[in-house]
Amino acid sequence: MALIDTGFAALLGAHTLDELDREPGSVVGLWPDGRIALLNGAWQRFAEQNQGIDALRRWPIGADLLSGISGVLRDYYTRAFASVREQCQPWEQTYQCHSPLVRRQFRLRALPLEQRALLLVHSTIVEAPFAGSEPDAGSTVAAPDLEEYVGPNGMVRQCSNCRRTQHGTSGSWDWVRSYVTQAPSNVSHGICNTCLRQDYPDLR
Amino acid sequence: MPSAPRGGKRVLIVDDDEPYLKVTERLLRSAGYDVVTRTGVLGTSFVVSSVRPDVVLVDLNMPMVNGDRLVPLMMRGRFEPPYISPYVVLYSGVDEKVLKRRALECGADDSIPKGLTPKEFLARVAECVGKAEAARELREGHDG
Repeated sequence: MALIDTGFAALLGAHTLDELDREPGSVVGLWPDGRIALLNGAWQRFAEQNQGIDALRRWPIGADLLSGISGVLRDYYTRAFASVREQCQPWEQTYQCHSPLVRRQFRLRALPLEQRALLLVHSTIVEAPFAGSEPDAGSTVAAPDLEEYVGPNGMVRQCSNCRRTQHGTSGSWDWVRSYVTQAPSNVSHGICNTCLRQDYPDLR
Repeated sequence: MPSAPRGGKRVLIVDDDEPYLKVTERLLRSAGYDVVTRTGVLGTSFVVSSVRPDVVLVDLNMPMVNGDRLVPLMMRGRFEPPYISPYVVLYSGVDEKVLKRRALECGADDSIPKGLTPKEFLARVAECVGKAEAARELREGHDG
């Protein structure tokens, strides 16, 4: 069930709340100052299915959507959203947002509404498990023996797309949390077979 | 050793990660580039002076010698005129801000992050090739 701030429905133009709530991807409406004005049902379902209940509490109606990110990424989205408001033209980009078990690629579309309000519509392009169907699928390693991830040449091999790390002997691509947070100084960035198949299907 | 290209632009890639190197090579070839690859850093200056690439992509993190150490060593090589020097690009999967800083510090001309989509990567390489071409024309204008 969509949540909507008072007065935002009047800015939706040709969109209807019912239609936005039926969208399979998450939809967020923003006031001109970037505060959240609308959250559809898919946004809430996605958060609940991905241990994101905390996100629902931190970003309720009225919260600044970009308050959760900082640095260049915040600047990037601030500029992108400003251009949509100023030029009244949609903007879109694809991005990756993997979980330890699922490889995901999304498209984000920012659509201009009346009075410089915005609609952000996410749609899923790729959603496939890392584990199970992949011959080189690894596992999530919470407290790994990091020495095991050093290859024969002294380097730790990490996929530059999904950030999984290759085990030095078994060759599996594991989700090593500490390496996702901070890559080691001897990291060498390559590409895992899953990302190779997904991103370069014609080049294998 | 292949001779310098006449039409298509030539890219030299130095990267210790062979699978990534092959993917990058095939991607660039599919876009019409003439590509030369190296998995080791030894002799890179010689390869540059022989192959005369328009752009050199140098991986940042490699065993023995990192890319940001290799770049100044490589650029010390003397290149036979009219070829002066390639447009050197540091590329890596490290944080983009870190990559930019290390590229600036070592004297590389540019940086490209690993992990871009093929379309984005090709756009970035095309941009570098365009800058290399502009720099070359500028030099020729001064010389002429």
